[in-house]
Amino acid sequence: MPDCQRSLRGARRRARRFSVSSPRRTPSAATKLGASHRLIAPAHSLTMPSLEGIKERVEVSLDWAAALPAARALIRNGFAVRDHFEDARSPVDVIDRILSSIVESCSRSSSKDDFDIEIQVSDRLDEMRAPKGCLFFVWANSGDPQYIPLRPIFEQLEGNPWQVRLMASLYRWLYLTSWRVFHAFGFSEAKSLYEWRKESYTDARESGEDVDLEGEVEYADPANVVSYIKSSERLRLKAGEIGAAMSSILNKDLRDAFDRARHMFERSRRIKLPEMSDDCRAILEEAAYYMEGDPFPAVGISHWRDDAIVAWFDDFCQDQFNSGVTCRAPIIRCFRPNDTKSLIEIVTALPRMVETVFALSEWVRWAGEMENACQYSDRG
Amino acid sequence: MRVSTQIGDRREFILTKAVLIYEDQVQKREKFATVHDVIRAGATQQERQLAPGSLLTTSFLKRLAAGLDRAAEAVLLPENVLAYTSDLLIWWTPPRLHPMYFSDGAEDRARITGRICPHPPLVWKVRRGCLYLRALLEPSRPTAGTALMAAPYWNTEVSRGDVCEGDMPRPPETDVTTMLQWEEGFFNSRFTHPSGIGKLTTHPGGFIGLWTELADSLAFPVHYLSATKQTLAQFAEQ
Repeated sequence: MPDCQRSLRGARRRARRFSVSSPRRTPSAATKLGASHRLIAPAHSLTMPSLEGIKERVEVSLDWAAALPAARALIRNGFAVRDHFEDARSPVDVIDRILSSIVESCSRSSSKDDFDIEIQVSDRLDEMRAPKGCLFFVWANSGDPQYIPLRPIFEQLEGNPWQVRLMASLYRWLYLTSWRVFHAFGFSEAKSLYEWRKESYTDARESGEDVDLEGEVEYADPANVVSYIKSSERLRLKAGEIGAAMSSILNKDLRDAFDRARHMFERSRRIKLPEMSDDCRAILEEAAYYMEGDPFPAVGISHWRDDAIVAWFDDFCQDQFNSGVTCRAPIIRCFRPNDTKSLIEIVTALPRMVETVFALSEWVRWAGEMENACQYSDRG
Repeated sequence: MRVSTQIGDRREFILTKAVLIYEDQVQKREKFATVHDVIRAGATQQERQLAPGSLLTTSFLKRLAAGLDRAAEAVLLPENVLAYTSDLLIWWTPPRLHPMYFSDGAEDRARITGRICPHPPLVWKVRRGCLYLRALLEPSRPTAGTALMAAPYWNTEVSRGDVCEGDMPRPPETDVTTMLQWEEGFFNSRFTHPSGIGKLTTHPGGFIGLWTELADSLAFPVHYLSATKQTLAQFAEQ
């Protein structure tokens, strides 16, 4: 029986033949071990065993398979260079380095981000809940809201026949550029808030409540906003007028500032982020359930600090602060890990978005300097 | 402007405790474990050392198990399984026919080896990789109070039922899918000698007399089984 013979207990078994004195007959029960204090360490041992050579720290990466298609697509589309792979511990590291280097490549020595932009590619919005099978691109402003006053510029154009039309265009360039990368607060927002508040006050008064409609609402009526902002769409320069209007600005610094604003506006119009599919939109709404507040405005743009836009800008920001709600990031895109087309569109748009933020930051600082330089007595 | 990428999880584990296992060098059967904190010592607090240990306790094991816990998959139990825990499996088998194999030796056992013999219903227990065996009077599923009989085999100790396995083939892991491997490993190995001093059978001719009579017969006469003082419940707890 060859199959039996292979597994027979064999001669070794006989060599261990049972002996009456063998301790196997009466194996020690666990309860017969010595008291625990005797077992804590061998009595003859003077030192504890060495830990030399034992790995003290272990880092583990889990569930990063969703990063693989993204990393592969970035490599295939030429976004990755050798440096991105040096000492990278996972595809997630590679993606992080690629995004970081895109941001760095858009920065000049003077570049400064006054809006504290946070850029994130993640598989979750909420630390506690990661929806299955999707990635998020999140772009959020996190600093205090900035403000661009236009009055000092308006007054530098005193006597220029294009003054109002130039200011209307400048307002639109700044306002519409801001909206490409975050939420801005201008005349439209002030008007919407005013009308909503006026309606709710009117309703309250009709219900017999004692509310100060005139005192609070009429004071900040956007109808009183300067015309080059209020009617900017109508007053803005037409394409054929821009050259002549810009040439009419004699102050070189001022003309450069207008030029930068126009250039920034034109570049920002080429920012193209992907549209989300219906299912990704639904996933995003579910995942962003805790972001109950509207995006926090990154910048307010008005004529001066005493106008209705600033009044409603302050009011809106105060409400957001006091409500304690988490504000939604201004730009969020949800896409499937295998939807590398969306990822590549995002990464392609990223340099223009970054450049736009740097350019707006530069404009905020320049406008701040202009404001500080003027001597108005009614500064708020 | 800050960039961050978070896909999946990244965890960092730091050595905080060490478990040392001490083993009896004679029989290799008794072990105990101590658990030690890992501390930093030396002038720069960079030298890692083990702090004095304490005997590994059940509560420590619970904490460790909780830390390592993974949802266990549901296991469907075959109908002959009697008990199943992480380190214990007990099952029973009905009477069967199977050849008996003996090591080389006296002429009496040479006459039996390789011949098909009837075997009684058996209760098998594997605890922490060690095999224990008992016999049953009835060919039916035993209950907790069922009295167990000594398994009438050499290499099987009477008082506890533990089998001296030698180099008997055995599965690397024990679960409900490897019960047959244990059974076949047992029957397809040679019996070499009696274990201990207990009575394996009530047959008047003793062990060799029993199996000489049974060779080539069809049914095991259970009145030749020798009683033990154990019930199934006691066998399981042992």
